[in-house]
Amino acid sequence: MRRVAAILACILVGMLAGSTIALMAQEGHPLTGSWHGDYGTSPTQRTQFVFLMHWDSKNVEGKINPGANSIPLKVATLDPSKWMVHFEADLKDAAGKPAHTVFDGKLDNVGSYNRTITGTWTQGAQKGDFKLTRD
Amino acid sequence: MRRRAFRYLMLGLSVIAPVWAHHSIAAEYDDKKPITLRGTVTKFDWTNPHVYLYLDVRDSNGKFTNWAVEYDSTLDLKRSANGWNRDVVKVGDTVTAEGILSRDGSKQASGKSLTLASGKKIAAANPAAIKLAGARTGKEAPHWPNGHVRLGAVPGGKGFWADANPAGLYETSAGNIRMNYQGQLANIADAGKIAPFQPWAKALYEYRQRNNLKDDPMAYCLPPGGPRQFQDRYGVQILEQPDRQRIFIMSAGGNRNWRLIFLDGRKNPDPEEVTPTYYGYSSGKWEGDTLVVDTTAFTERFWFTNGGLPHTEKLALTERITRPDFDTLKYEVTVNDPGAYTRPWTGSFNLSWVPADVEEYFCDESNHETESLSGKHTTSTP
Repeated sequence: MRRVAAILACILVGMLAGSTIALMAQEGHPLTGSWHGDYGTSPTQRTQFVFLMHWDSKNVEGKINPGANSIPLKVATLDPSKWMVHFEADLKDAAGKPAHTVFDGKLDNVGSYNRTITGTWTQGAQKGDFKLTRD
Repeated sequence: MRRRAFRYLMLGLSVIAPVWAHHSIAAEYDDKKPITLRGTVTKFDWTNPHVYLYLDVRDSNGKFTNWAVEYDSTLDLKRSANGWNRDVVKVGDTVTAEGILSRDGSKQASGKSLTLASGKKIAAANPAAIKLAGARTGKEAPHWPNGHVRLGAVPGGKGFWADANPAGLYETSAGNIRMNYQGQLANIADAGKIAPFQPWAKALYEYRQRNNLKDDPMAYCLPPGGPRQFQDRYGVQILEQPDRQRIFIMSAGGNRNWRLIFLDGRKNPDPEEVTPTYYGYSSGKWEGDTLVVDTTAFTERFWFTNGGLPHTEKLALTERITRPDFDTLKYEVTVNDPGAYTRPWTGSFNLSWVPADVEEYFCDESNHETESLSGKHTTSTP
């Protein structure tokens, strides 16, 4: 528990520090790192989330909202020919039940430390947009 | 465990990048937009990493606007032998600067020449044309009393290594690939020959090349680890301490950092158990006159070659450094990074001896023109 708290603290501190940074070079695999952002069905209906991803030389592994209630990424792929990304995870629906969610987006400003991913998501009949920014 | 904790910390923490300092000119300025600025000098900043000239220029409506004209580093300007020095202009002089406009629309230009108050026109430096090496001596490589070749200066002598040729790194079997002094390919179609990339690494390398290396970490004065330390245009100085069984590789450019190679027989630590760094953890041994160095535990936060070859924290290097004659340092490296490449690969380049002391140059936060460098320069400077 203390370890989880320490990790979360590190990430939060990093997010705060990162907010002051305008430019920085990209590092390693383009998806590696901590990302923050939100998704929703409209500009006013948003849910914040954090992605933590790591390239293991063959696959991207990661989780959403790292911590005690983290959700593993079941699929995380990058098509470098067009910088398109595809994520799948079982988020929770309004009733708190697992709901398979699919994200498709595009990686932009690839060379920047604070690169972004924007795209759309679907969860059953629900759909919307999302945006992630590298911390 | 410590490594994993550190990784999380690094994922969270970010290094502050205060300046866009020692950058690729093409990334920040548009060579298709020439500009001539005639005005009165308000400030001449003869400073690292780049020199800045500030001019009050009157437009057609009679309104004065202060422009910043960026020139090369003080060292490059001096080495150009075009007549540059810190007193070449004075506040109040009326001068004409020719250059190219900033891409971001700020009142800033990259200077190509300067016509002084006297009417004399001096060109900016051409870094690609500046070579530091002296005339070849034809002498044999010097040796230590213990028989090892000397990689640095002889007692009472001075000197360092520079002018990497080729300027970039690519797989030896690729043949001769043309690139400029920053490692930018003459032909982007050659990208696939450079190394056995994983698809994402090739795409990222091409992205960096197509974007004129604009995200180069050295632009933020971050250290150049691996082969890139030897590719720095300002050179490297090798300081050997046989009595202490170690060698320092001292950067003459960049942020003037250094790397340490242990020769005391120690093994490199498990990369998972140490803090990854720009220069990694190096241990070496002599095989005849060849220094063989294994390095691991690199951070991902830098480009390990000119031109922007990607790597991951799995990067491991085996360098073979020899001095076949007094004037030549042969540098060969085998790159083993299963995170970015499909197999290990080897490249090499030579450096030439510069029989001189390293001149002072720093690329760091001492650069106080951060507003100009970040494109926020809009008003007169004090």
